[in-house]
Amino acid sequence: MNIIEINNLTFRYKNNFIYDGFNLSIEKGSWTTIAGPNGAGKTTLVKILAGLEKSYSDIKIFDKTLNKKNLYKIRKEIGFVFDTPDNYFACETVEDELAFSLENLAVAPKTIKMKIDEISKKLRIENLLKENPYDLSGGEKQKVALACALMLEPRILILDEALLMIDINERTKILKLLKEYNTKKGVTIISFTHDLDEAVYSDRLIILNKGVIVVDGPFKEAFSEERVMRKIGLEVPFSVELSQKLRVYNLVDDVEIDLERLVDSLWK
Amino acid sequence: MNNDYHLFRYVPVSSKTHLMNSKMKTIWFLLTLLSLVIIRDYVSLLCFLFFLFVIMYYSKISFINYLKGIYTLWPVYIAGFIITFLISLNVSFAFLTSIKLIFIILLFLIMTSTTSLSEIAWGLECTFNGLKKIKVPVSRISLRIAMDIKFISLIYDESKEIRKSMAYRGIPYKKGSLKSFKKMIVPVISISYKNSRRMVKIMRLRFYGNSKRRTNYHENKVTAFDKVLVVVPIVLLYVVIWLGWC
Repeated sequence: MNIIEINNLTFRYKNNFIYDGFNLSIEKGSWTTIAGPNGAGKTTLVKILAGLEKSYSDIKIFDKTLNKKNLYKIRKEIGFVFDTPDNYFACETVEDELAFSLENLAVAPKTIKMKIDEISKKLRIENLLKENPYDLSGGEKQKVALACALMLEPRILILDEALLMIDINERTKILKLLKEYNTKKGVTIISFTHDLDEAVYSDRLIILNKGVIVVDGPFKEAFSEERVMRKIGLEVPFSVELSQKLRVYNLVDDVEIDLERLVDSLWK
Repeated sequence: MNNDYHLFRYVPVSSKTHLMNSKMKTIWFLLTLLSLVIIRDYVSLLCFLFFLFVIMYYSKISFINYLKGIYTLWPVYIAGFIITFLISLNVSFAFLTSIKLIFIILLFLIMTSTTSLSEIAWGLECTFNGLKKIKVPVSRISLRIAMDIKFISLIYDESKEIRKSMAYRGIPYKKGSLKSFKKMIVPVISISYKNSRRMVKIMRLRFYGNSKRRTNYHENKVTAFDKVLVVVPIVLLYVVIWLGWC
């Protein structure tokens, strides 16, 4: 069952068509990574889905048409994390920032407090609660933005280069946490990125270039289009490249993006 | 020099002034502002100075912070003095107006450094909630006012950033030079305006004003401190009218 259906999307910025007759459907409960180089149209698509950009299209989310009438209902169920978290902060402390959306949805203060404690613990940002979000480092800001999105308990989580500034160790922990949300809570995740390393837990990989899908398929199969990826300027993760070469010599069975799993399969 | 200082920016501290109920704080602010606007004598001004000092003390924010804010806006007082003098041709009245301007700025500094943006918007919305019955878009107006306050703070922050980026490009900023000021003012205003409009979009994206009800996470109940703070400007208003207008 599809949770998002985009049919015939047309979007123009000044005289340039970013999307012209674009179609996409996202399955419920899946983790889809949409990768592409700069200018591929990733952020534009996120903004269109958030209702921040007007487009000519037929977009259905949760079977509801994305229009002015349904926008509020649809937004309540989606957590957005944008590439520039600075631009989306509205409050003067991290704690207020986390509470803000829920306050506006009239959630009881006790519940908000409980959720703040839970999410801040999960993302290890308890020490930042009294800080001004504008004064944090890039990685910390992204963690706060992600926490804000998770506070809503969304059915869909849309991440736009959301983990880019977070260091590798922290990023791995966060990706694992998101996988938990994906598998245990059934949250549909759509991750827009140009870093394919972030796609480690995805079920499906879509490569976008200049508003057109050039590769679309189950995660591991998509990497067979390595040449296309390189051609448009995407860097194939080291583990994928290595496992592909090892497969030629029958040292591993499958393409592996997770370095730990690759090492494990080599040991076997 | 302390680089952490930001004009009209919220300072998160747990103080009595910070923890005031949003609606009561808005009422206190509006009453005090009204009294300050109609003041015509120095005795009332002294009473107000004492009153504001007490609130500053309870805010747990360093007096130096407030003084920095007042000092930063010195051209406003000079402009106020000149304009009032040119209109009234009365030096003492022009001087009083400048002093009143300092007090008004101080009042805004107290309000903005002890109240977060969402609480300002919420406080205004609660205070003028009754106007919703005659279909006044209170929620939208409150948000706009909060954003305009934010706009002033953004101008200050942006000017700092632009000064730095100009220095990186080898264009030194000379303090007090009209030429440097002219180079800076257009980008500062356009960027700040763009940012504040973007904030309105973000507040909407995060459901502000979409729902009829809203909760307040801090849920600050009305305390005796709040009540005293609202009563004092009412008394002072009476003093101002009695001393200055009767």
